[in-house]
Amino acid sequence: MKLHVLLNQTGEWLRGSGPDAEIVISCRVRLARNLSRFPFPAKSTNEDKKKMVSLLEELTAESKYLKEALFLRLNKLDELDRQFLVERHLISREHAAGEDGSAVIIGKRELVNIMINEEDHLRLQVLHSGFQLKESWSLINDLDNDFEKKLDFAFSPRLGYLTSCPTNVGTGLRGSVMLHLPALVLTKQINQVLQAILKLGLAVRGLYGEGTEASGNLFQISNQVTLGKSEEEIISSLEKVIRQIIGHERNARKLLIKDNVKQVEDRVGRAYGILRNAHVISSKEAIELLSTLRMGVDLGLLTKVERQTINELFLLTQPAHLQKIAGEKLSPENRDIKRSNLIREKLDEADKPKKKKRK
Amino acid sequence: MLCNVCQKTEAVVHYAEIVNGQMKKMDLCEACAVDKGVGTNVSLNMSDLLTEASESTSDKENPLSKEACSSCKMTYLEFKKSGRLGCFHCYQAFYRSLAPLLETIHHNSRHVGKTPVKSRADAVDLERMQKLHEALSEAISNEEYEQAAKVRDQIREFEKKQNKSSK
Ligand SMILES: [Zn+2]
Ligand SMILES: [Zn+2]
Repeated sequence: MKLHVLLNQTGEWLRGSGPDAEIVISCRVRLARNLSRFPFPAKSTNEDKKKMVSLLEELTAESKYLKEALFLRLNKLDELDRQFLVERHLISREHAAGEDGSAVIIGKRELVNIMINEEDHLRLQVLHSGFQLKESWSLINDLDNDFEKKLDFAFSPRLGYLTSCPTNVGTGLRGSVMLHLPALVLTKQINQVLQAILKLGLAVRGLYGEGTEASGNLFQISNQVTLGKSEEEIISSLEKVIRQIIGHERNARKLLIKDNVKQVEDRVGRAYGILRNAHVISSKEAIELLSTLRMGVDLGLLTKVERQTINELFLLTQPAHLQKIAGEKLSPENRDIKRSNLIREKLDEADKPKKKKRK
Repeated sequence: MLCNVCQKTEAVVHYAEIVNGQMKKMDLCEACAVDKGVGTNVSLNMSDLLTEASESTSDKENPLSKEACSSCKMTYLEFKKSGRLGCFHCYQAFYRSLAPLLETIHHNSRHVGKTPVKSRADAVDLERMQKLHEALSEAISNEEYEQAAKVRDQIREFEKKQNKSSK
Protein backbone atom coordinates (compact mmCIF):
# COMPACT_ATOMS: atom_id res chain seq x y z
CA MET A 1 0.00 0.00 0.00
CA LYS A 2 1.02 3.61 0.66
CA LEU A 3 4.15 2.53 2.46
CA HIS A 4 5.87 1.80 -0.82
CA VAL A 5 6.31 5.51 -1.22
CA LEU A 6 8.54 5.43 1.82
CA LEU A 7 10.48 2.40 0.73
CA ASN A 8 11.59 4.14 -2.44
CA GLN A 9 12.62 7.40 -0.89
CA THR A 10 15.43 8.50 1.34
CA GLY A 11 14.19 10.19 4.48
CA GLU A 12 15.50 13.67 5.08
CA TRP A 13 17.50 12.46 8.08
CA LEU A 14 19.43 9.86 6.07
CA ARG A 15 20.78 12.26 3.50
CA GLY A 16 24.14 12.37 5.22
CA SER A 17 24.37 16.09 4.67
CA GLY A 18 24.02 19.14 6.86
CA PRO A 19 26.45 20.67 9.36
CA ASP A 20 28.96 18.24 10.91
CA ALA A 21 27.40 15.36 9.00
CA GLU A 22 30.65 13.38 9.21
CA ILE A 23 29.92 12.90 12.91
CA VAL A 24 26.29 13.80 13.51
CA ILE A 25 23.97 11.40 11.72
CA SER A 26 20.74 13.09 12.65
CA CYS A 27 19.03 15.20 15.24
CA ARG A 28 15.50 15.16 16.43
CA VAL A 29 13.28 17.37 18.53
CA ARG A 30 9.95 16.15 19.80
CA LEU A 31 7.16 17.74 21.77
CA ALA A 32 4.66 15.86 23.91
CA ARG A 33 1.18 17.36 23.89
CA ASN A 34 -2.22 16.32 25.23
CA LEU A 35 -5.66 17.65 24.45
CA SER A 36 -7.49 18.95 27.50
CA ARG A 37 -10.78 17.49 26.28
CA PHE A 38 -9.78 13.87 26.71
CA PRO A 39 -8.12 11.78 29.42
CA PHE A 40 -4.53 10.69 28.65
CA PRO A 41 -4.25 7.54 26.50
CA ALA A 42 -3.99 5.28 29.58
CA LYS A 43 -7.54 6.25 30.56
CA SER A 44 -9.19 7.35 27.35
CA THR A 45 -11.75 5.09 25.73
CA ASN A 46 -11.49 3.74 22.20
CA GLU A 47 -14.28 6.12 21.37
CA ASP A 48 -12.20 9.10 22.60
CA LYS A 49 -9.21 7.89 20.66
CA LYS A 50 -11.13 7.50 17.45
CA LYS A 51 -12.54 10.99 17.83
CA MET A 52 -9.05 12.32 18.28
CA VAL A 53 -7.78 10.51 15.22
CA SER A 54 -10.56 11.98 13.07
CA LEU A 55 -9.92 15.42 14.48
CA LEU A 56 -6.24 15.14 13.62
CA GLU A 57 -7.03 13.85 10.16
CA GLU A 58 -8.96 17.04 9.48
CA LEU A 59 -6.14 19.16 10.85
CA THR A 60 -3.62 17.35 8.69
CA ALA A 61 -5.57 18.21 5.58
CA GLU A 62 -5.58 21.89 6.56
CA SER A 63 -2.06 22.36 7.90
CA LYS A 64 0.47 23.93 5.58
CA TYR A 65 3.19 21.99 7.42
CA LEU A 66 1.64 18.67 6.50
CA LYS A 67 1.14 18.98 2.77
CA GLU A 68 1.35 15.59 1.04
CA ALA A 69 1.57 13.89 4.41
CA LEU A 70 0.58 10.26 4.87
CA PHE A 71 -2.04 9.64 7.51
CA LEU A 72 -1.97 6.03 8.69
CA ARG A 73 -4.23 4.28 11.18
CA LEU A 74 -2.10 1.62 12.80
CA ASN A 75 -4.88 -0.94 13.05
CA LYS A 76 -4.99 -0.97 9.25
CA LEU A 77 -1.34 -2.00 9.04
CA ASP A 78 0.02 -5.50 9.43
CA GLU A 79 2.83 -6.34 11.78
CA LEU A 80 5.54 -6.11 9.15
CA ASP A 81 4.44 -2.62 8.11
CA ARG A 82 4.45 -1.49 11.70
CA GLN A 83 7.93 -2.83 12.26
CA PHE A 84 8.96 -1.10 9.06
CA LEU A 85 7.80 2.21 10.55
CA VAL A 86 9.64 1.47 13.79
CA GLU A 87 12.87 0.89 11.87
CA ARG A 88 12.42 4.27 10.19
CA HIS A 89 11.94 5.93 13.60
CA LEU A 90 8.45 7.01 12.54
CA ILE A 91 6.67 5.22 15.36
CA SER A 92 7.95 3.75 18.60
CA ARG A 93 7.78 0.12 19.60
CA GLU A 94 5.19 0.99 22.15
CA HIS A 95 3.13 2.76 19.55
CA ALA A 96 3.44 -0.16 17.14
CA ALA A 97 1.82 -2.41 19.73
CA GLY A 98 -1.10 -0.01 20.18
CA GLU A 99 -4.43 -1.14 18.82
CA ASP A 100 -7.49 0.86 17.82
CA GLY A 101 -7.16 4.59 17.85
CA SER A 102 -3.42 4.80 17.23
CA ALA A 103 -2.29 6.64 14.14
CA VAL A 104 0.73 8.30 12.66
CA ILE A 105 1.15 11.27 10.37
CA ILE A 106 4.23 11.18 8.19
CA GLY A 107 5.20 14.44 6.54
CA LYS A 108 6.86 14.85 3.18
CA ARG A 109 10.36 13.35 3.13
CA GLU A 110 9.78 12.18 6.69
CA LEU A 111 10.97 15.49 8.05
CA VAL A 112 7.97 15.93 10.32
CA ASN A 113 6.03 13.17 11.94
CA ILE A 114 3.33 12.90 14.55
CA MET A 115 2.39 9.90 16.64
CA ILE A 116 -1.21 9.95 17.79
CA ASN A 117 -2.20 8.17 20.99
CA GLU A 118 1.17 6.80 21.91
CA GLU A 119 2.13 7.61 25.52
CA ASP A 120 0.65 11.06 25.00
CA HIS A 121 -2.12 12.17 22.66
CA LEU A 122 0.41 13.79 20.40
CA ARG A 123 4.11 13.40 19.91
CA LEU A 124 5.22 15.94 17.34
CA GLN A 125 8.68 15.42 15.97
CA VAL A 126 11.14 16.75 13.47
CA LEU A 127 14.10 14.74 12.26
CA HIS A 128 16.95 16.46 10.37
CA SER A 129 20.17 15.04 9.03
CA GLY A 130 23.37 16.53 10.41
CA PHE A 131 23.64 18.87 13.33
CA GLN A 132 20.70 21.26 13.06
CA LEU A 133 19.07 21.20 16.46
CA LYS A 134 18.01 24.84 16.32
CA GLU A 135 16.38 24.31 12.94
CA SER A 136 14.59 21.24 14.25
CA TRP A 137 13.30 23.17 17.24
CA SER A 138 12.20 26.09 15.12
CA LEU A 139 10.24 23.88 12.73
CA ILE A 140 8.53 21.86 15.46
CA ASN A 141 7.71 25.09 17.28
CA ASP A 142 5.97 26.43 14.15
CA LEU A 143 3.99 23.23 13.80
CA ASP A 144 3.04 23.36 17.46
CA ASN A 145 1.85 26.97 17.08
CA ASP A 146 -0.17 25.96 14.08
CA PHE A 147 -1.87 23.12 15.98
CA GLU A 148 -2.41 25.27 19.01
CA LYS A 149 -4.74 27.53 17.07
CA LYS A 150 -7.14 24.65 16.68
CA LEU A 151 -6.45 22.42 19.67
CA ASP A 152 -6.79 23.08 23.35
CA PHE A 153 -3.73 21.60 25.06
CA ALA A 154 -3.59 20.47 28.69
CA PHE A 155 -1.44 23.16 30.25
CA SER A 156 -0.83 24.60 33.67
CA PRO A 157 1.07 27.83 34.24
CA ARG A 158 3.01 26.19 37.02
CA LEU A 159 3.93 22.85 35.45
CA GLY A 160 3.65 23.70 31.78
CA TYR A 161 2.39 21.13 29.27
CA LEU A 162 0.89 18.23 31.20
CA THR A 163 2.03 14.82 30.03
CA SER A 164 1.23 11.18 30.82
CA CYS A 165 4.61 10.66 32.38
CA PRO A 166 6.00 13.25 34.82
CA THR A 167 9.41 12.88 33.16
CA ASN A 168 8.12 14.93 30.21
CA VAL A 169 6.11 17.60 31.97
CA GLY A 170 6.97 21.27 31.40
CA THR A 171 8.18 21.85 27.89
CA GLY A 172 7.45 18.27 26.83
CA LEU A 173 10.59 18.68 24.76
CA ARG A 174 13.15 16.01 24.08
CA GLY A 175 16.06 16.80 21.82
CA SER A 176 18.22 13.90 20.73
CA VAL A 177 21.30 13.73 18.60
CA MET A 178 22.60 10.57 16.96
CA LEU A 179 26.37 10.55 16.82
CA HIS A 180 28.83 8.30 15.04
CA LEU A 181 31.93 8.12 17.24
CA PRO A 182 34.24 5.43 15.84
CA ALA A 183 37.49 7.24 16.67
CA LEU A 184 36.59 7.79 20.31
CA VAL A 185 35.73 4.09 20.52
CA LEU A 186 38.94 3.00 18.76
CA THR A 187 41.12 5.20 20.93
CA LYS A 188 39.28 3.96 24.03
CA GLN A 189 38.27 7.43 25.15
CA ILE A 190 34.56 6.81 24.76
CA ASN A 191 33.80 5.78 28.33
CA GLN A 192 35.42 8.87 29.72
CA VAL A 193 33.38 11.04 27.37
CA LEU A 194 30.13 9.22 28.13
CA GLN A 195 30.66 9.44 31.87
CA ALA A 196 31.11 13.18 31.56
CA ILE A 197 27.88 13.45 29.59
CA LEU A 198 25.97 11.46 32.18
CA LYS A 199 27.22 13.77 34.91
CA LEU A 200 25.62 16.66 33.04
CA GLY A 201 22.23 15.02 33.41
CA LEU A 202 21.93 13.94 29.81
CA ALA A 203 20.92 10.46 28.71
CA VAL A 204 23.11 8.31 26.49
CA ARG A 205 22.04 5.31 24.60
CA GLY A 206 24.01 3.00 22.43
CA LEU A 207 23.66 -0.39 20.90
CA TYR A 208 26.28 -2.49 22.59
CA GLY A 209 27.85 -5.51 21.00
CA GLU A 210 29.06 -8.52 22.87
CA GLY A 211 32.50 -7.06 23.35
CA THR A 212 33.22 -3.68 24.74
CA GLU A 213 32.75 -1.88 21.45
CA ALA A 214 29.41 -0.26 20.87
CA SER A 215 27.82 -1.77 17.83
CA GLY A 216 27.91 0.58 14.94
CA ASN A 217 29.64 3.13 17.18
CA LEU A 218 26.33 4.94 17.26
CA PHE A 219 25.27 6.90 20.31
CA GLN A 220 22.15 8.86 20.98
CA ILE A 221 22.37 11.72 23.42
CA SER A 222 19.35 13.56 24.73
CA ASN A 223 18.18 15.88 27.47
CA GLN A 224 16.37 14.51 30.50
CA VAL A 225 15.12 17.65 32.17
CA THR A 226 11.97 19.17 30.70
CA LEU A 227 10.78 21.31 33.60
CA GLY A 228 12.27 24.59 34.79
CA LYS A 229 14.22 25.37 31.64
CA SER A 230 12.96 27.08 28.54
CA GLU A 231 12.97 25.27 25.21
CA GLU A 232 15.80 27.47 23.97
CA GLU A 233 17.88 26.74 27.07
CA ILE A 234 17.36 23.01 26.68
CA ILE A 235 18.35 23.12 23.03
CA SER A 236 21.36 25.35 23.50
CA SER A 237 22.79 23.42 26.45
CA LEU A 238 22.39 20.16 24.55
CA GLU A 239 24.02 21.81 21.57
CA LYS A 240 26.98 22.93 23.65
CA VAL A 241 27.63 19.42 24.92
CA ILE A 242 27.32 17.93 21.44
CA ARG A 243 29.76 20.51 20.13
CA GLN A 244 32.31 19.37 22.67
CA ILE A 245 31.83 15.73 21.77
CA ILE A 246 32.26 16.59 18.10
CA GLY A 247 35.52 18.31 19.03
CA HIS A 248 36.75 15.23 20.91
CA GLU A 249 35.83 12.93 18.03
CA ARG A 250 37.59 15.22 15.54
CA ASN A 251 40.76 15.21 17.63
CA ALA A 252 40.63 11.44 17.97
CA ARG A 253 40.25 11.10 14.20
CA LYS A 254 43.22 13.39 13.60
CA LEU A 255 45.27 11.36 16.00
CA LEU A 256 44.31 8.11 14.29
CA ILE A 257 45.36 9.45 10.91
CA LYS A 258 48.59 10.83 12.30
CA ASP A 259 49.71 7.81 14.29
CA ASN A 260 47.92 4.79 12.86
CA VAL A 261 46.86 5.55 9.32
CA LYS A 262 47.91 2.13 8.00
CA GLN A 263 45.96 0.27 10.67
CA VAL A 264 42.89 2.36 10.00
CA GLU A 265 43.20 1.93 6.24
CA ASP A 266 43.53 -1.78 6.79
CA ARG A 267 40.39 -1.91 8.88
CA VAL A 268 38.42 0.09 6.34
CA GLY A 269 39.75 -1.96 3.47
CA ARG A 270 38.88 -5.24 5.16
CA ALA A 271 35.39 -4.02 6.00
CA TYR A 272 34.88 -3.03 2.38
CA GLY A 273 36.25 -6.37 1.20
CA ILE A 274 33.90 -8.36 3.38
CA LEU A 275 30.84 -6.28 2.55
CA ARG A 276 31.51 -6.55 -1.18
CA ASN A 277 32.07 -10.29 -1.09
CA ALA A 278 30.02 -11.79 1.71
CA HIS A 279 27.04 -13.98 0.88
CA VAL A 280 25.60 -14.37 4.37
CA ILE A 281 25.74 -11.53 6.85
CA SER A 282 24.02 -10.92 10.18
CA SER A 283 22.57 -7.58 11.09
CA LYS A 284 25.16 -7.09 13.80
CA GLU A 285 28.11 -7.79 11.53
CA ALA A 286 26.65 -5.56 8.85
CA ILE A 287 26.24 -2.66 11.26
CA GLU A 288 29.80 -3.01 12.52
CA LEU A 289 31.29 -3.12 9.06
CA LEU A 290 29.10 -0.32 7.72
CA SER A 291 30.24 1.81 10.65
CA THR A 292 33.88 1.14 9.76
CA LEU A 293 33.10 1.96 6.14
CA ARG A 294 31.51 5.22 7.14
CA MET A 295 34.58 6.11 9.13
CA GLY A 296 36.67 5.41 6.03
CA VAL A 297 34.51 7.73 3.96
CA ASP A 298 34.52 10.43 6.63
CA LEU A 299 38.31 10.24 6.94
CA GLY A 300 38.74 10.48 3.18
CA LEU A 301 40.28 7.00 3.01
CA LEU A 302 37.48 5.58 0.90
CA THR A 303 36.10 7.62 -1.96
CA LYS A 304 34.11 5.01 -3.86
CA VAL A 305 31.10 5.16 -1.61
CA GLU A 306 28.96 8.09 -0.56
CA ARG A 307 27.89 8.71 2.97
CA GLN A 308 24.23 8.64 1.98
CA THR A 309 24.64 5.14 0.53
CA ILE A 310 26.00 3.88 3.84
CA ASN A 311 23.27 5.62 5.82
CA GLU A 312 20.68 4.03 3.59
CA LEU A 313 22.26 0.62 4.06
CA PHE A 314 22.09 0.99 7.85
CA LEU A 315 18.35 1.25 7.40
CA LEU A 316 17.65 -1.01 4.43
CA THR A 317 19.47 -3.97 5.98
CA GLN A 318 17.14 -4.09 8.96
CA PRO A 319 14.69 -7.00 9.08
CA ALA A 320 11.41 -5.32 8.16
CA HIS A 321 13.03 -3.34 5.37
CA LEU A 322 14.60 -6.46 3.87
CA GLN A 323 11.22 -8.13 3.94
CA LYS A 324 9.42 -5.15 2.41
CA ILE A 325 11.99 -5.06 -0.39
CA ALA A 326 11.62 -8.79 -0.96
CA GLY A 327 7.85 -8.44 -0.80
CA GLU A 328 7.53 -11.45 1.48
CA LYS A 329 8.25 -12.73 4.95
CA LEU A 330 11.78 -14.03 5.36
CA SER A 331 13.31 -16.31 7.95
CA PRO A 332 16.33 -14.92 9.83
CA GLU A 333 18.62 -17.18 7.75
CA ASN A 334 17.10 -15.89 4.56
CA ARG A 335 17.40 -12.34 5.73
CA ASP A 336 21.14 -12.81 6.26
CA ILE A 337 21.42 -13.85 2.61
CA LYS A 338 19.22 -11.05 1.27
CA ARG A 339 21.10 -8.58 3.40
CA SER A 340 24.43 -9.51 1.90
CA ASN A 341 22.94 -9.40 -1.61
CA LEU A 342 21.58 -5.94 -1.07
CA ILE A 343 24.87 -4.63 0.32
CA ARG A 344 26.85 -6.12 -2.59
CA GLU A 345 24.43 -4.61 -5.08
CA LYS A 346 24.61 -1.13 -3.59
CA LEU A 347 28.38 -1.19 -3.28
CA ASP A 348 28.80 -2.46 -6.86
CA GLU A 349 26.54 0.30 -8.04
CA ALA A 350 28.56 2.89 -6.13
CA ASP A 351 31.77 1.58 -7.66
CA LYS A 352 30.66 2.01 -11.27
CA PRO A 353 32.09 5.17 -12.78
CA LYS A 354 28.93 6.86 -13.95
CA LYS A 355 26.53 9.78 -13.85
CA LYS A 356 27.29 13.01 -12.05
CA LYS A 357 26.69 12.85 -8.37
CA ARG A 358 23.94 14.83 -6.78
CA LYS A 359 25.12 16.79 -3.75
CA MET B 1 20.32 -17.29 26.52
CA LEU B 2 16.82 -16.32 25.48
CA CYS B 3 15.71 -12.89 24.36
CA ASN B 4 14.45 -10.68 27.22
CA VAL B 5 11.58 -9.36 25.19
CA CYS B 6 9.97 -12.22 23.30
CA GLN B 7 11.46 -15.03 25.40
CA LYS B 8 11.43 -17.20 22.30
CA THR B 9 14.49 -16.60 20.22
CA GLU B 10 18.14 -16.91 21.14
CA ALA B 11 19.58 -13.56 22.22
CA VAL B 12 22.27 -12.33 19.87
CA VAL B 13 22.51 -8.67 20.71
CA HIS B 14 23.53 -7.60 24.15
CA TYR B 15 22.16 -4.22 24.64
CA ALA B 16 22.83 -1.73 27.35
CA GLU B 17 21.06 1.45 28.16
CA ILE B 18 22.66 4.09 30.28
CA VAL B 19 20.08 6.28 31.85
CA ASN B 20 20.81 8.54 34.80
CA GLY B 21 24.19 6.97 35.27
CA GLN B 22 22.89 3.45 35.54
CA MET B 23 23.52 0.79 33.00
CA LYS B 24 20.75 -1.66 32.29
CA LYS B 25 21.71 -4.78 30.37
CA MET B 26 19.37 -6.38 27.89
CA ASP B 27 19.81 -9.54 25.91
CA LEU B 28 17.77 -9.50 22.77
CA CYS B 29 17.19 -11.50 19.64
CA GLU B 30 17.87 -9.78 16.36
CA ALA B 31 14.29 -8.82 15.66
CA CYS B 32 13.65 -7.38 19.09
CA ALA B 33 16.99 -5.58 19.09
CA VAL B 34 16.10 -3.84 15.88
CA ASP B 35 12.72 -3.01 17.28
CA LYS B 36 14.31 -1.42 20.30
CA GLY B 37 17.11 -0.10 18.19
CA VAL B 38 18.87 3.19 18.02
CA GLY B 39 16.69 6.21 17.96
CA THR B 40 13.73 5.03 19.99
CA ASN B 41 12.51 7.20 22.82
CA VAL B 42 14.60 7.62 25.86
CA SER B 43 12.73 7.37 29.08
CA LEU B 44 13.74 7.44 32.67
CA ASN B 45 13.03 4.35 34.62
CA MET B 46 9.85 5.51 36.27
CA SER B 47 9.38 2.61 38.63
CA ASP B 48 12.83 3.20 40.13
CA LEU B 49 12.06 6.84 40.58
CA LEU B 50 8.72 6.12 42.15
CA THR B 51 10.29 3.73 44.62
CA GLU B 52 12.84 6.37 45.46
CA ALA B 53 10.20 9.03 45.89
CA SER B 54 8.01 6.91 48.12
CA GLU B 55 10.94 6.30 50.41
CA SER B 56 11.11 9.96 51.22
CA THR B 57 7.36 10.41 51.60
CA SER B 58 6.05 7.12 52.84
CA ASP B 59 2.64 6.11 51.60
CA LYS B 60 1.15 6.18 55.07
CA GLU B 61 1.98 9.74 55.91
CA ASN B 62 0.76 10.84 52.52
CA PRO B 63 -2.95 11.53 52.91
CA LEU B 64 -3.59 11.45 49.19
CA SER B 65 -1.80 8.28 48.22
CA LYS B 66 -4.82 6.08 48.81
CA GLU B 67 -7.06 8.29 46.82
CA ALA B 68 -8.04 8.16 43.23
CA CYS B 69 -8.25 10.98 40.74
CA SER B 70 -11.89 12.00 40.82
CA SER B 71 -11.88 12.75 37.12
CA CYS B 72 -10.36 9.64 35.51
CA LYS B 73 -10.50 7.29 38.54
CA MET B 74 -6.87 6.38 38.37
CA THR B 75 -5.49 5.46 41.78
CA TYR B 76 -2.08 6.46 43.00
CA LEU B 77 -1.09 2.81 43.22
CA GLU B 78 -2.05 2.32 39.61
CA PHE B 79 0.16 5.24 38.69
CA LYS B 80 2.98 3.83 40.77
CA LYS B 81 2.79 0.60 38.87
CA SER B 82 2.60 1.99 35.34
CA GLY B 83 4.37 5.32 35.72
CA ARG B 84 1.63 6.89 33.60
CA LEU B 85 -1.02 9.32 34.77
CA GLY B 86 -4.60 8.98 33.62
CA CYS B 87 -5.50 12.58 32.89
CA PHE B 88 -4.25 16.08 33.62
CA HIS B 89 -6.36 16.29 36.78
CA CYS B 90 -4.15 13.56 38.20
CA TYR B 91 -1.43 16.20 38.59
CA GLN B 92 -3.73 17.87 41.06
CA ALA B 93 -5.03 14.74 42.70
CA PHE B 94 -1.54 13.34 43.34
CA TYR B 95 0.17 16.66 43.74
CA ARG B 96 1.63 15.91 47.11
CA SER B 97 3.40 12.79 45.84
CA LEU B 98 4.27 14.27 42.49
CA ALA B 99 5.94 17.41 43.79
CA PRO B 100 8.95 15.62 45.32
CA LEU B 101 9.09 13.29 42.33
CA LEU B 102 9.31 16.21 39.92
CA GLU B 103 12.04 17.70 42.06
CA THR B 104 14.01 14.45 41.78
CA ILE B 105 13.61 14.20 38.03
CA HIS B 106 13.98 17.79 36.98
CA HIS B 107 15.57 19.55 39.97
CA ASN B 108 12.95 22.17 39.29
CA SER B 109 9.32 22.67 40.11
CA ARG B 110 8.19 25.51 37.89
CA HIS B 111 7.67 25.75 34.17
CA VAL B 112 9.49 28.61 32.47
CA GLY B 113 9.09 27.65 28.81
CA LYS B 114 6.53 28.22 26.16
CA THR B 115 2.96 29.15 27.06
CA PRO B 116 0.10 28.57 24.66
CA VAL B 117 -1.23 31.82 23.23
CA LYS B 118 -4.83 30.99 24.01
CA SER B 119 -5.50 31.25 27.72
CA ARG B 120 -6.80 28.08 29.22
CA ALA B 121 -10.06 28.46 31.03
CA ASP B 122 -9.93 24.85 32.07
CA ALA B 123 -6.23 24.49 32.83
CA VAL B 124 -5.63 23.12 36.29
CA ASP B 125 -4.67 25.73 38.82
CA LEU B 126 -1.64 24.05 40.32
CA GLU B 127 -0.50 27.36 41.74
CA ARG B 128 -3.44 27.40 44.11
CA MET B 129 -3.03 23.70 44.75
CA GLN B 130 0.58 24.22 45.76
CA LYS B 131 -0.44 26.96 48.21
CA LEU B 132 -3.09 24.74 49.76
CA HIS B 133 -0.64 21.89 50.14
CA GLU B 134 1.92 24.17 51.72
CA ALA B 135 -0.72 25.33 54.17
CA LEU B 136 -1.59 21.71 54.89
CA SER B 137 2.02 20.71 55.59
CA GLU B 138 2.50 23.71 57.77
CA ALA B 139 -0.61 22.96 59.80
CA ILE B 140 0.46 19.35 60.23
CA SER B 141 3.98 20.21 61.30
CA ASN B 142 2.62 22.75 63.78
CA GLU B 143 0.25 20.06 65.02
CA GLU B 144 -2.74 22.28 64.27
CA TYR B 145 -5.00 19.42 63.35
CA GLU B 146 -8.19 21.37 63.16
CA GLN B 147 -6.63 23.76 60.71
CA ALA B 148 -5.21 20.80 58.74
CA ALA B 149 -8.62 19.23 58.45
CA LYS B 150 -10.01 22.51 57.21
CA VAL B 151 -7.35 22.86 54.55
CA ARG B 152 -7.87 19.27 53.49
CA ASP B 153 -11.55 20.01 52.96
CA GLN B 154 -10.59 23.03 50.92
CA ILE B 155 -8.35 20.87 48.76
CA ARG B 156 -11.16 18.39 48.13
CA GLU B 157 -13.59 21.19 47.41
CA PHE B 158 -11.14 22.79 45.03
CA GLU B 159 -10.53 19.53 43.18
CA LYS B 160 -14.21 18.92 42.75
CA LYS B 161 -14.81 22.38 41.41
CA GLN B 162 -11.96 22.09 38.95
CA ASN B 163 -13.15 18.76 37.68
CA LYS B 164 -16.62 20.09 37.08
CA SER B 165 -15.50 23.24 35.32
CA SER B 166 -13.52 21.22 32.83
CA LYS B 167 -16.25 18.81 31.90
ZN1 LIG C 1 13.06 -11.41 20.91
ZN1 LIG D 1 -6.87 11.62 36.41
